[in-house]
Formats: sequence, structure tokens, C-alpha cells
Amino acid sequence: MTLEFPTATTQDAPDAGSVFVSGPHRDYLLSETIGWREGDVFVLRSSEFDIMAEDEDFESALTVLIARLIDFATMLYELVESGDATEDEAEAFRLLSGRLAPLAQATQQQDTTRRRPQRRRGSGSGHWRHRGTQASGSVPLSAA
Amino acid sequence: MLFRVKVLSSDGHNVAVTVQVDTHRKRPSDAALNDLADRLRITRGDIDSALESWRPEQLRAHLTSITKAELLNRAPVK
Repeated sequence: MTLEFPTATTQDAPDAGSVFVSGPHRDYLLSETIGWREGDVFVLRSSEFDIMAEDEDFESALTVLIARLIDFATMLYELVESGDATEDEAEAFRLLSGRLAPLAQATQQQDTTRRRPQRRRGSGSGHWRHRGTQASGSVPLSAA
Repeated sequence: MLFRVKVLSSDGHNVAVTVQVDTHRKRPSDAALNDLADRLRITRGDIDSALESWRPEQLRAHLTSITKAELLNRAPVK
């Protein structure tokens, strides 16, 4: 599988994409995202939540983004539970938890139906898919 | 790490501004600093001095002087 990654070279004209996490049977959308390269760093910024990640290695940037989205969901959960969340945070929690819950359920279901869990199809790994047309005139970082 | 500041916007709404501090890199990239400036509604050219010299009360006063729509805006401050 060829790993997709953003090729835009400026935040002013970023690539639009979506970040997915692989589950036991299908991929789960976590966040719509914009991405671009800034020098030798890949930058991913959620267009739905206040989360971004950057790294010279694209897979590391993806991993960091996913970890931060989960941290963000945890923080929002605690705020909602304590009654301290703003309206916007409560809405963000509804959206994000609605995406994370099916993934967590599917993973848990698979684990409980197997006595000895086998290796899943890349379960838990993240990937990026472009939306729309990729930025032209740019080259993959690895080829730069 | 995520840090959250909850303020009353200038037009009377409870708004939380969440910023993240990157601990997995030795030095923050320009992209991370720009993102921080955009979230705190500070011009990108002023973010270094704000981080160096602002006190928490100054940040809170700055954020409370801004409308909710502007606090939620993520475009660079002109």
C-alpha cells in the first residue's frame, strides 16, 4: 500500500484530507484535516478540532495527531462530566466521541470473541486520504 | 500537552481556548508557533515576545477583549 501524504508546501494552500484509523473490519474517520509541508516538516491540522501535529516523518505526525485527538476527547469527556464544558466543547465532544466509540466497540468486541487475539489488519494504525485534488507542482518529501 | 483557558468573550459568551505544547520535539517548529499565535489571536510576529513576557493575567485580559467569533477563528491575525 502506498502511503498518502500531503504535498502542499504552504499553509495558504494546504491539501485537504481525512485521517482514518484502521479498525478490525474497516477504517474509521477521526478528523477532517488539512496538511502541508513547512520546510522539512509535515504539518497536520484538524479542521474540526483544535489539534495539530508536526514531524519530519509523516507517519510520526499522523501518530501524534491521533494520540492528541484521543487526549482531546479525554479532556472533553472530563469537562462534560464535570459540567464545565462550554457549548462548543460539548459539541466537539459529541462529534469526536461519536467517531471514537464505534472503533472502541469493534476493537473490544473482537478481543472478547477471540481467546487468543490474532494480529488485526493494521488495527490502530492511522492513515491519511486526500480529499479533492492534490496540490500540483510539489514533490514528495522523500524525493526532495 | 493541552492547556485550556476559559474566558468570557467581549460579547458575553463562555469560550475555551485550548492550546497545545509540543513536548516530543526539542524545538518548536515555525508551524507550531504559528498555530499557537493563531489560537491565542496574536499576530504571528508577536508570539515570541508574548511567550517571553506576558503574564497569565495579560493573556486573560487579551482574550476577554475579543468576541467569540474571533476567538474561534483560526486564521492568522492580521
